Amino acid sequence: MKKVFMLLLLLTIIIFPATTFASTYFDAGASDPSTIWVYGTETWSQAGYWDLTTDTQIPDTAVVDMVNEGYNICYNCGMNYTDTHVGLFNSAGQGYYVESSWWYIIFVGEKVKQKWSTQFWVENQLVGSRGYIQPVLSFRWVDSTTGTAGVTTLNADGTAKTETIKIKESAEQVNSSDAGSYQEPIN
Amino acid sequence: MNIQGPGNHDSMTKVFQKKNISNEPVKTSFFNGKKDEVTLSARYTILEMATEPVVNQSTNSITIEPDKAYSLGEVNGKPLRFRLFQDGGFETNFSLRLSHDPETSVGKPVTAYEANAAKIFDSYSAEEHRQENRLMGRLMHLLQVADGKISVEQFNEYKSAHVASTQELLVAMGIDINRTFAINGVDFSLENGHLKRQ
Repeated sequence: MKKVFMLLLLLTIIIFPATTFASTYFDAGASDPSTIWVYGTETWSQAGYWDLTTDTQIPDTAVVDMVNEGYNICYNCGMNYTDTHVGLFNSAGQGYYVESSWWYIIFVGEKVKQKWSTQFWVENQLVGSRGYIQPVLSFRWVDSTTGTAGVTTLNADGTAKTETIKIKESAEQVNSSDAGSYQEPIN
Repeated sequence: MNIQGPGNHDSMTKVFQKKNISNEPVKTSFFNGKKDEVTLSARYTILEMATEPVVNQSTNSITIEPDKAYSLGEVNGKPLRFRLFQDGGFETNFSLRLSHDPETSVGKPVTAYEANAAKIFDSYSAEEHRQENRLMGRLMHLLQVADGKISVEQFNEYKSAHVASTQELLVAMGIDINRTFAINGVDFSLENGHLKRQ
């Protein structure tokens, strides 16, 4: 299994520089704040923000291909995924409800380098009248100006790093797809 | 997952289509669980808009304009409709767009519109949402090609399990892929699954 993983990892490193269509992955990490609280039922929570406006790792002309917001919820607070409604918004305040950890094309073509936000509300009664989510936002973005290819993973503090678990997942998916021209988003 | 062309009966159009649409703001009781009414600030949701056919069968062409609602066939027997906004965004009858100010909405009650949008979103299964996402994703890419934002080569190289194939989308919309077709005035053909500009 380890050998398979190493092979796939190598494949990823080799394949990506040769990719012609930009298929870059950006993990914006946790929002600020990383834990977003709600106090009550059917009221909007605090807002969590991802400010990508000054991120030097992303080309200014990069646009969103797909976006993925994964979020944990507070089970001890009485929360469940069915009664939790999470919205993802762009800097203009336009957004959509999203389910956790699914790749959406909802903001396709929009500039990546903007201030994104998320808020949620719950339908059900909460233990102690409060609950929280902990979201992580990911982008698959494209930049036709540079036509670059590769996987870019950044930590929540904005520093450029390669995160092993993400690469492993990417590598597995590259292996199961048309790897020469395409990088399946991490799911 | 069944995908059918737009020639089928669009039952939701009958349910939500409003007559005598004017430019005046509309008040409507969106959500039975809420007693209040919501003013849409002169903005109609796709649920209230009359659907126009996306394909002109006689010319085998697609013309998509902002702020008009179009049918994109069916997903699992349920009509899929969409509209583009002037700002480049879009919404479907599976997923309404929200307008929201995170700075001022903290702790504020969810509006009837927002509650209803969640109710609508939840009324479709995860698989139905994924199929909606797949079709809309390819459609948006197709429009980007027609607008010159991405090249035909880039379009053809793009493959993802999260996005429908070109053929799947065109068939769902009702395009005859055995002959030349036009998208927003640009002529294309489909050869061995690849888009080709004429």
